[in-house]
Amino acid sequence: MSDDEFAEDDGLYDEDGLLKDEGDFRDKSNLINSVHKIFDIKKKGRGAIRHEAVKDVEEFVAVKRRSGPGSSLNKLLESVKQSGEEKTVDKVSKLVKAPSLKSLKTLETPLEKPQALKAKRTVLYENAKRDLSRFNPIVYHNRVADQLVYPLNAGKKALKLSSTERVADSIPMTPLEEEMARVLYGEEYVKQKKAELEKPKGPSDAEAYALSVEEALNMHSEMARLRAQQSYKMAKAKRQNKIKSKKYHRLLRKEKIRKQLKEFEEMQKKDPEGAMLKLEELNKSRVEERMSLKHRNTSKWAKMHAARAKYNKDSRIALSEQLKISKDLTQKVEESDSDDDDLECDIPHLVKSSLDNPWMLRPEVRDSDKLNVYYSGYKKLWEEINEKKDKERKRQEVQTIKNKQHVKKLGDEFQNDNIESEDLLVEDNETDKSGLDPESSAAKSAQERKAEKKKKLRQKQKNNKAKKKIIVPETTTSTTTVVYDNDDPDFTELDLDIMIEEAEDKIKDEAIRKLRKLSKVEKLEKKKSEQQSKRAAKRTKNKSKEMMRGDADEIRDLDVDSAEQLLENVGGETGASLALTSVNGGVGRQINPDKQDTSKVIIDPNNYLKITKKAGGKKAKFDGNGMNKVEFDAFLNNEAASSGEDDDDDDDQRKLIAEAFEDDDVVDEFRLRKEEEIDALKPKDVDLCLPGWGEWGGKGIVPNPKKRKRFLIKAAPLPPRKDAALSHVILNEEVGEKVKEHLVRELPFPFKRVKDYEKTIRAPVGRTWLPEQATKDLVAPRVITRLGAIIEPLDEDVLPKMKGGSLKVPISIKRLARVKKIASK
Amino acid sequence: MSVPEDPLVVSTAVGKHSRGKGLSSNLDVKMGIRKTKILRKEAKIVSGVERAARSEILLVEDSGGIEVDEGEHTLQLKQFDITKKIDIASATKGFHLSLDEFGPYKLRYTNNGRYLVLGGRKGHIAAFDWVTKNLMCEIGVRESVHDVVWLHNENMFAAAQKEWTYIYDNQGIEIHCLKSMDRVINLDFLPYHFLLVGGHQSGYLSWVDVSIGKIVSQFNARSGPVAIMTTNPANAVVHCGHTNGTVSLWAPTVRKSLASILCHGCPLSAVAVDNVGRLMATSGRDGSMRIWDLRNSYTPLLSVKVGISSLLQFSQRGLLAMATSTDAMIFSEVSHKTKPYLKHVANSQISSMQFCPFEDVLGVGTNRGFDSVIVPGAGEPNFDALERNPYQSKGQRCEAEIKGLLEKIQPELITLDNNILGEVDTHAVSSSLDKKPNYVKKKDIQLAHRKKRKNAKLPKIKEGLRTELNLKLAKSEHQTKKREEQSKKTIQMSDDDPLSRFAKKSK
Repeated sequence: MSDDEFAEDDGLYDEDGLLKDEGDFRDKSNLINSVHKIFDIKKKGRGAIRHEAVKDVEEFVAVKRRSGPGSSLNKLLESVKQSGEEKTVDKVSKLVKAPSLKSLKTLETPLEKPQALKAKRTVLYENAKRDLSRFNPIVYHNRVADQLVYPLNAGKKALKLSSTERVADSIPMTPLEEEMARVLYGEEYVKQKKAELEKPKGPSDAEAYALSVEEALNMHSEMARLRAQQSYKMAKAKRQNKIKSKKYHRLLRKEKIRKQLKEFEEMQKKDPEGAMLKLEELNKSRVEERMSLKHRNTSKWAKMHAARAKYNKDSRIALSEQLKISKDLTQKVEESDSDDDDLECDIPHLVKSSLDNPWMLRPEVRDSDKLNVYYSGYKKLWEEINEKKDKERKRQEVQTIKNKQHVKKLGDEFQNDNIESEDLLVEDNETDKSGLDPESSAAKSAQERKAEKKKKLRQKQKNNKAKKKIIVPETTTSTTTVVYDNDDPDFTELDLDIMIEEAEDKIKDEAIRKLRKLSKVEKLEKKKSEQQSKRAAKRTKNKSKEMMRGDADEIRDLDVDSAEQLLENVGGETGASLALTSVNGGVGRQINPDKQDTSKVIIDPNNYLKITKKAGGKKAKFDGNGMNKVEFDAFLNNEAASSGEDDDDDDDQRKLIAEAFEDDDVVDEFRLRKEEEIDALKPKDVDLCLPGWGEWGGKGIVPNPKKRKRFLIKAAPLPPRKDAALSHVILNEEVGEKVKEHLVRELPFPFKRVKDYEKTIRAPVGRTWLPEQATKDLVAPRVITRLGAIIEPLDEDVLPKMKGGSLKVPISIKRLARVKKIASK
Repeated sequence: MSVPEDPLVVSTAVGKHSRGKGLSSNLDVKMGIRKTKILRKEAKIVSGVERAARSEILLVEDSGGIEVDEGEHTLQLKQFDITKKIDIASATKGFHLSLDEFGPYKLRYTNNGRYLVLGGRKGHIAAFDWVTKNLMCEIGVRESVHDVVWLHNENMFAAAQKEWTYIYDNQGIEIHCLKSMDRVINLDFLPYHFLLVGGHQSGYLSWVDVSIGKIVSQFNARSGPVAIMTTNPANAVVHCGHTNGTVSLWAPTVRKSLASILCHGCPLSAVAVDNVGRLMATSGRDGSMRIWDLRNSYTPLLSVKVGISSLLQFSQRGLLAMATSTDAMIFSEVSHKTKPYLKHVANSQISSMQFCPFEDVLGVGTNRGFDSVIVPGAGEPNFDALERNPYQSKGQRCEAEIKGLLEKIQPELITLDNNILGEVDTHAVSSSLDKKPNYVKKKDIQLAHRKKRKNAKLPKIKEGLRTELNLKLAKSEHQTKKREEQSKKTIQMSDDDPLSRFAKKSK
C-alpha cells in the first residue's frame, strides 16, 4: 500500500476535493502560473483560451476556471455592491455557498515516515486483535474441554451423554422400561416423566430461550452490573472485617445492641408474646455462650486471681479448683446402654479401657516445663486436699458398706428370687472375703469401692428390669436342668452419684421387703449345696492339675457351654476329666454333680465379675487421682502379680505365671528403650570452644562459661515425635529411603501448594477401585481424531452469527475506534 | 436434563468409598484454564465415588446370622443346633475330620476360601477342596511340619518343615526347597506382593519373593524366636508378638521395627489383625485380651480378662475367634462393645484356627484332627469375582495369576501408612529449592499448611528483602571478583613475569 492510498483509506485528506488536487502540482512554474491565474484579475478575464489544436491539452485549464469561483465571485459581488443592488448580492451570496478564504487552511504536514508506519502498524494490530478476539470464547472452551473430537463439527460440539444420562433423559414408554425406571429412580420419577409425556408441547428449549443479540447484550450488561455491585459489597465487608480497632468494634456492638433494644421495645408494644419468645431465645443464647469453653478463665474474678496467682497460693488453688469444676461439668457423659429389651448379654467384665488403660495417660509435654514449675507448688497442696477428701469419702463409704453388709446378710437367706440371686452370690464371695480380713477390705481405695458399688447397683437395676429366667431342658439322659440367668449388665458408668444413690435406696427397700418373706430353711439348704460344690471343685482340680496345667484358668472362665458340656459329660462318660476340670473355676455357680436328678445349675455369665470388679477398681483409681506415670508403672508391674491374687483361691496357674514374670520390669524396660531411641536421634550440639585459647590453660582450670556458651553451636531441635504423646509406642521416625524413591519429588507447574497437588492425586483411577464408567470418565483421551479426516483450522463459521446490522456496538469496539483516531493524528 | 436424586445411594456408602477431602475452589493456581481443568477432574473424582457407592446396590447377598427366641442366647447353641436349622448344602460345611495320629494340625484356606491345606506336626500334609471334599494330595514328609500356607493360588503351597521350607504343588510334588528359610516356625503369604514371609526359630524374619524366587530381605528381629506372627492384610506389615509384652511391626526394607507397642505387662500369647487393618487384638499370658486401634494412635479400645488365649483370628466381617485350650470362643461387634457370640468345644487342644473367606465357617485344627465349624455371619457374602473368586474356573485362575503378577506391589512400598504414595516428598522439594543459587528468585511454594500470622504480608516482605539482599550481595561479589582478578593480573605482570622488566612503564 502506498502512502497515498493509505491517506485515502483513512480519509486524511478527503475533506476538500480542491486541496486534494494539490498533490498534483508537480511543476513549480505551473504552480506559479496557476496562482497567478487565480488571483490576477487582469489575466482572469482572459481565461484559458484554446488558440489552436495542440496535442497536449493543459489539464489545469478547466480546473482553473472552476477552481476560483469563490474568489472571483467575491470580486463580482463587490462590484455589484458598488453598483448598489444589494438584494441581488444577498441572493447570489446565498446561492453560492463557497468556502471562504478563511476556511482554506493550510495542510498539516504529513507524518514522518517512521511515525506513519508506526501508526499504521498499531492500527493494523488493533484490527487483527479485534478480529481474532472474536474467537476467544471458542478457544477457551476448546482448551478447557474434557474431550475434543476432531474434526470439530462446524463449531458444534458433539453432545456426548453417558449411558445413565441417556437413560435418565429417555421417557419410559413400555411397561418394562417403566419398571426399570421405577427400580432405578423411584416411583416419583416415573410419574414425572409420564406427566411430561402427556403435557402438550410448549415451545422448544431453543425457542423458549431464544434471545435476540440485543437482549443478550442487555442481559450481559445487567449481569455485569450486578456482579460489580456484589464485588463492591464484598470488598466493603472484607475491609470492615479486617478492622482491628477495639474501639470500632465496641461502637459497632453497642450500636447493634441499641438497635436490637429498640426493636425489642417496639415488639413489646406490638407483639408481647413474640417479645417473650425472643427474650427466651436471647437468654438461651447467653447460656449457651456461657457454657462454651471460652469463658473458663475470662471472668473478672478469674483474671484477678490469675494476676495474683504467682504470689498467692490461695488464688492458685481457687483457680485450679475452678478449672476442675469446669472440666467436670463439661466432661462428656457416657452413653448408658439401658435397653431393657436387649437380650444379648455383653460380657460383663468388659471395661472401657480408655480409663482402664494406663497408657492413655499422656506424658507431660516438655514445652510446659515452665508451667510445671509454676504449678508444682500448688500441685502438692492439691494432692493434700485430695487426700483429705479421700479420707472423708472412705469414712462415709465404710459406713455405707457396713449398712450394705447388713443387707447382704439378709440377702444370703434367699435363693430363688432371681432379682437378687446373682448379686447376692457375688456379694457372698465378697463378704466371705471381707470376713477373712476386714482390715484389708477397709484399706481398699475408696474409689474402688465406689466403682464396685455402682456396678452392683447397675446389675440390680438391670435385673429388676429384665426378670428373665430360662429353663433349658437338656437332651442328655440326666434330668439336670440349666437355669440360664440372662441379663445384660453394663458397666458404662455415670458420674451422677445422686442418681445412683437414689436408685440404691429404692433397691435396698425392695430387697429388705422381699428378704423378710424368705425362710431360714432355704438359707441352710443353700449353704449346704455351696459347700458341696466347693468340695467337688477341689476334687476335680486335683485330678485335672496334671493334665491341663496351662489351661486351668482358661477353663475357669467358661460359662454356659462348659457347664452344658459338663452336664453332657456327666451323662455320657467321654471326656469326663475335662468336664470335671471345667468346674474348678466356678465360684459364682452352684454345680452339684452328685445330685444329678434334682439339682439346678445356675450358670451366671457374670462370673467374670470378680475380674471386672478388679478392673473397675483400677479404673476408679485412675479416675480419681489422675494417676501419674510412676503409679501407672507400678500398676503395670503389679498387673501380672495381682492377676493371681484374685478372689479365686484355686487359681494356682495364674499365680505361677505371675510369679514367673514378676521380675521382668517390662514397662521400665520399654521406657528405657524409648528414651534410648529418642536420644540416638537427637542432633548433637557442636562445641567449638578451645580451652586455653586466649586465657590460661592447664589442669584444674575451668574455661569461662560465657566463652563456652558463645562457642557452643546448638543443634536445631527436631520436630516433635509422632509418638511424643504415646508412652506405650515407639514409632520409627525414618521412612524408608526406598519408598522415597517412588514419591513425587518436585511440585508440578500450576500448583503452588503441596497440599493442593496431593489432593489431585489422592484418588485411584483404576478399575479395581472404581466402577467401569467412572474409570472411563477419568481416563478418557483429551483429543480424539477420526482416522483420515482432514482437520481444518477454525474459521469464521464457528463464530455465532449476528442478526442484521442492529447490533449494539460494544464498548470495547468503540474504544478501539477512538484509539484509531488518535493514532491517525 | 435432570437425573433425579439417587434414592439408592446411601450416604454411608459414599463415606466408605470417599477418598478424603477434595480440592476447594480457592486452590492457588494462577491460570484460569488450568484451574478449571483441575476442578473438573476433582468433580470427576467425586462422581466416581458416587458411582462406586451407587454400585453397592449390586451387592445383594446378605450376611448370615442367628436369631434366637426371647430368653435364649446364641452362646447356648451348639453346632448340632445350628446344622439342624440350616439348609443341607450349608449343613455339609460343618464337619469333623478325625486325624488322631499326626499330631496338632495347622491349617490354611486359599484366598478365595475354596481349598484347604492341613499340616500335621508329625509330618502329614493334605490339601483338598473342602467343599466337595476332593482330595488334591496327601503326603507324609517324615519330619516335623511347623506351618503350612497357600501361595497365590491353589496350585502351590509352602510348608515350614523341620529344617527348611518347601514348596509343593497341588499334586504334592516338591517343587522347591528354600534352604534360606531354615527352621521356620511361622509362615505367611502376602498375595499382592507375592512375598512369602517366614518367622524363624532363630529370631530371623525373611521375605521371599516367590514370583522371582529371591530373598527380598532377611534380618534378625532381635527378640527371640518368632513364635507369634501375623500380617496386616491392609498394609502387609508383619506383626510379631514378643515375650516382653510388646508387638513389633516389621517391613522388609526397614531393618528397624516400624513400631513397637507395649500391649501387656506380660508375655504375649497371640496377636491378630482384622481384615481392614483397623483393629489389632492381642492377648497376654495374664489372661487379658486387648483390642487396639491401629489407624490413629495405637490406643487400646478394650481390655478384657478372658483367660489365656493361644490363638486369635478375625473373620472377614469382623468376628473375633479366640482359642483357649479346647474351646473356641467367638465374639461379635468387636470394638468398644464386644459380645460373645458362639462357642465351640473341640475334642482336644486347638492348635490353629482360621475363618474361611467368603464362607460362614471357622476351620479349627486340633491335636486330633480338624473341625469345620459353622459360624453364621462370619464370611463376606458378596465377592468381587475379579479379585477373589470362589467359583474360579481354570482360565480365570490363569488370568488372575498373570494380572496379579503384572500388578505386583514392590516390597519397598510396604509401610505403615498406605497413603504414602500419594504424598509429595517435601524434604526433596525444599532441598532442591535450597540448592538453587541465591541470585535466582525462589519459587513461592507452600510445603505445609501455614499458620495464620498477624501480619500476613510479613513473610513475603521478608522474603523479598532477602532476595534483594542476596541479589545485591551476588552483584557486589561479582564486582569484587572482577576487581580482584584485574588487580591480580596487574600484579602478576609486575612481579611474576620475568619479561615484565621489558614492558613499558606507565608514568
